[in-house]
Amino acid sequence: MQADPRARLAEAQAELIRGLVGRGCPPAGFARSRITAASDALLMKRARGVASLWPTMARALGESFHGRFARYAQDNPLPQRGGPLADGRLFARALASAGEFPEEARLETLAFDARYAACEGGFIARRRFCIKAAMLKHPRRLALVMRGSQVGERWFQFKLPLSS
Amino acid sequence: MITALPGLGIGIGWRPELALMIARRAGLRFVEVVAENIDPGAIPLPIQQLRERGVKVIPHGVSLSLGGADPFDRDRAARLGRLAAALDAPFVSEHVAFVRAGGIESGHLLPVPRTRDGLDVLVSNVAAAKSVLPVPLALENIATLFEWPDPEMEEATFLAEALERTDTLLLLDVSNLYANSRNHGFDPLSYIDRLPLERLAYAHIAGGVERRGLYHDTHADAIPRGALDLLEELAARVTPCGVLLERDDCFPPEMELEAELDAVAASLARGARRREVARAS
Repeated sequence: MQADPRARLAEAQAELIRGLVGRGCPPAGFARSRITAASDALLMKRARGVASLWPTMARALGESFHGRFARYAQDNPLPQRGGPLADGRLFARALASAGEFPEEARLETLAFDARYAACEGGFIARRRFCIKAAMLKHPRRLALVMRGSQVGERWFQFKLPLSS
Repeated sequence: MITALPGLGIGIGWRPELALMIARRAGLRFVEVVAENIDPGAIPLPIQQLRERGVKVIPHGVSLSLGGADPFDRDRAARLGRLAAALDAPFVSEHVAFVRAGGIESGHLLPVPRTRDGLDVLVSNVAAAKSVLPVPLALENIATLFEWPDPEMEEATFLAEALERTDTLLLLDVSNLYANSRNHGFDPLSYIDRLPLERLAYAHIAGGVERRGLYHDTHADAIPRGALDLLEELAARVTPCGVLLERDDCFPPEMELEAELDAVAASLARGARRREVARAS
């Protein structure tokens, strides 16, 4: 236990946050049912934030959105930079790793990747010119976006022949 | 200090989803923006247009973590200050809350323990923020579903002492007060009477909903009667420079929001009449 009052408070606040976001036990002395209610409210707020900024992904996941998001949130605290937009991108990445990312939302992630670059703690708006591309299915095509101060943001889609 | 504040009337929290409705609203004198959502170097056009009309824009921070015991983040405070300058804001507001600890962001405003140590940390952080901000700071009370164990003082006392020791303005959120008085069982009128109301800059009001015996301050539902009544009680004691309606989600049709703004005006008017009657007698 720290001697300095500020350091003691920092520890106590860290323990509380860990308990609220499911990365530790609820701290002693707090009303358990209230901490649970607050924890549920935090998760709901976090999920709603992502769903509102990633509507295509949320719609594509449908009823499975909340359960999948809850699992992602359990293992991944809020990114320090980028808010719900960054949170949604990391959720998309987690889904992709598990082979669960919905194809319909590929353009949504492509648009994000053209506008934001990964940085320590999350994402930050790109300042330099960039080109991003993704192979899409149904129909098979290449989607390409270029973004920069001179060109603005331009999208292209090239139909691809069916693979033989 | 308070006499230097502009008369703001009834305002609305600016959200992109409400931009058109807000732009159409004649007689609007102020809005509030979530500071973290606005780039000081790239103010969105609708907000620039409001400024050109003479509408005051108050930057409202949600991430300074003034009640947090982690080292104070001067960069965040400086950004809030830059936004205030860019918007020519008369003051800024933030919360008696913390939002990060141990390297984890909570994503939501969490209560500060109501202890001497908690108060000292808050006061120290507010002093640091004030040294960086170019305009006055108003502190807002938050809603919380839970409380820290073993509080040393009541919420009203904690807030009152914080305001006096930091010499800051008060942003009284009557809906947060309503929520806490319901969920933690205290008298909201005694709370109001404990506060240094001469420090009141403006008030917030917002909607919420009861779920499983707890009242949730959602900003996504209708304003409860109880919160409107508390606004009337506040107006019976002091004239707020402004009252701001917060709506963050599940945006209703414009007519419904207009009706809520009318209800806010009616509560203020009833309170003001009571104050006149009390003064006359």
